[in-house]
Amino acid sequence: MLRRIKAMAWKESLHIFRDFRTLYLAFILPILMMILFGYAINFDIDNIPIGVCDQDNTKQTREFVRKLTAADWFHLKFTTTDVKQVEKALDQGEIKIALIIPPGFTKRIKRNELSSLDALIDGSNNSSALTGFQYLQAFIGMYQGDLLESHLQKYGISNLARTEILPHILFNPELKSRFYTLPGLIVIIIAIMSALLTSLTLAKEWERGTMEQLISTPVRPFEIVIGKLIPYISISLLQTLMSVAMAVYIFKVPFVGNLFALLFTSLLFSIGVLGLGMAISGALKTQLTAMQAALLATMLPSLFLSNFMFPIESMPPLIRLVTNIIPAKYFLVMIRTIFLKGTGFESYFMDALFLALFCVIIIAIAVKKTGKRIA
Amino acid sequence: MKVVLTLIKKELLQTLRDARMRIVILGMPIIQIIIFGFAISTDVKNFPIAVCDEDRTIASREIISVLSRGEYFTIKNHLSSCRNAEKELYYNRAKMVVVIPPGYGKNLLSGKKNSLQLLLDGSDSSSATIASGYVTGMMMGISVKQFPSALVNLIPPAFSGISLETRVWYNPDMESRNFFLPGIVIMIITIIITLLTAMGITREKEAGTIEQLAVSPIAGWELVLGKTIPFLFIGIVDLSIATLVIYIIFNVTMNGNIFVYYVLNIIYIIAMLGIGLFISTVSQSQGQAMMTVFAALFPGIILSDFFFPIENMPQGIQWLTMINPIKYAMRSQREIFIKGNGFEAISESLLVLGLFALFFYAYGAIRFRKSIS
Repeated sequence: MLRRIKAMAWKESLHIFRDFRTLYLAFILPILMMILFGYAINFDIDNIPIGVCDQDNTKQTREFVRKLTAADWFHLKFTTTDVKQVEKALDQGEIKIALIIPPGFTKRIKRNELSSLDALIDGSNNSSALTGFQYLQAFIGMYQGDLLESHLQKYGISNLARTEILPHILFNPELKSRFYTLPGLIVIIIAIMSALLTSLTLAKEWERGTMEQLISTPVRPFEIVIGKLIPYISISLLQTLMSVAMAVYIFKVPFVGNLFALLFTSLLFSIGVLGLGMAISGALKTQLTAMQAALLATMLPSLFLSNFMFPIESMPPLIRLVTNIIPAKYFLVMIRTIFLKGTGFESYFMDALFLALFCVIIIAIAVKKTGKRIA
Repeated sequence: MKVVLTLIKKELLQTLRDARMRIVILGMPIIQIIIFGFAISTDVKNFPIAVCDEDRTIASREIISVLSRGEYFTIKNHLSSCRNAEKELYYNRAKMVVVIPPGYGKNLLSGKKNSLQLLLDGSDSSSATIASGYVTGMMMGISVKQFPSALVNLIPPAFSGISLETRVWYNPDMESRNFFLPGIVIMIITIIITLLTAMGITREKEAGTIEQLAVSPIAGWELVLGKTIPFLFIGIVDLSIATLVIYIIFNVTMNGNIFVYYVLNIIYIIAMLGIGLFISTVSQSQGQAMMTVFAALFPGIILSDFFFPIENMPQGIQWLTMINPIKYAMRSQREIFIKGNGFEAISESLLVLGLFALFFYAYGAIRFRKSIS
């Protein structure tokens, strides 16, 4: 059996080396993706363009606007007294938020009457809008706190008890988004690349008619699948190591965990996603459909259903159930833990177990699909 | 012209005859939109936390009950000792630990400065930031309620403060879903059309059937049209299915003019057809075609404004996005779909996309004719 698996692995390696450009792209693409993400993607939103329509235009409102735009949160595009101008700028996308200070704002504050501010927010740009709105609320909250304090001081109350919140951030104290997106990106890269590479392999044999020849030899379906997997496992492990090295040496993501733990978990994950590609390939039998299906089955799910972009806990129960069959979800927990926390196997034991289970099931499916005799 | 029609018919028949192909082309967009429509949400809900109450007073219990109310947090564990609080994060049991220090309740009553400690898991920092924001917001509410009654009496005229009136344009509920779904339509079209064209034509090259066509009396341009128009049909069908599913399942309506919407998307599909055609001319095998498509599309999608705002990228990269057709499509799609704007708002993008379509389609066609003759 071993001899036949070895022969299959050798045959597949020859195929891989013969199509040199595919192999070469398989290594260039992860580098390209890491660089793009490392340099271009920034989850921290700041300098949101804002326009102010100050209809009150007093010393106090000017001071208010100056304070609001002093930090990096907002980038003040212009101040005006004309509401039409901010509305137009918002419509054209020049600004994302328009703040309107109505006439009499200062007077009302001085008289201790409820004063109001109007904010117009561009909801067509979700992330900036939401963040900008939160910043604005926080700023007004602080400004009110100051007003309240001076109000109370007038009546001789000075020791106001405020509860201070002391956040203490572990593992990534500066909250650098790069530190958690790059390890996550490695998961996405391996998921997509692996499934794409193997999605072609069985389908190619079916399309060219060489599958019939393989079936007529003494090699068993199980041996075909395992033999074909072996060279791809080495490609995928190399891709992982390369991406990890880039994250650590170029983008300075701290790696506090154990390299063996990383290799072991990536081995599990690679087998899972390579097997997935193989199963799709065996089931669909043409390269075009297999590859479309592989891309659809890995790219968007790994991005969206794995905790990489959106938190799984917030999803509706049915979708949460679906995420359990996404291998990227398990590997993401493990790789982030290994990279940033450095804790041992017991902290991701369940994830590893589920991933192993996924591997066994998906390989069984791939073998079954290969075993189907010629129609 | 008759030749082109025959070719189109043959190609459509060949593509749609395969049941698996029908599922990939027609079924996948539906499944994708449903799953991602439900999955996409930047809100943090049911965030797993642990609490460690070293104070054990009415005030501290009040905090815990406020945290467990609502759908923001799920309290996974009540710790009796705060010595092991960090372990909860180390072993992935919780993503945040709220530590209420001893003396919290007493300090509150005597009007002394008080503090509350949060331990946050920075390995998932986006939700960590949002969660700590929620706690700060909740504490503001609690502080007012727990404000010592002795002091309240001292404030003769109540403080009025400032109210912030917010009006959100275009997407009043600020639902992430409304924002992302129109973009997903673009993503689905992009992936399906480019891959289908590039790999479909390469497959014929591999099988050698393209040479048979080349020696037939069919002219080169007829062959190009005959090979690509069927995929344009498929693109339009996918577009319509996706838009309908979004409306039926998520009740998100296309706010703009349906004619403008189709014009934009058809021009975009032609541009993607051109890219697929071009890639097929530089690929020898389907494997190569697939990898090249992927190499072209992946950076395009990342730099398209889909989920990563371009304004946040370094200046050099922002310039680079000027040559990204997906970005123009994404932006115009949102202008029409969410804002309900017409031609004038997207005229520039439309022009750029038109040029892309013309260039890639013409260049792809020329290369294609050369490669078969």
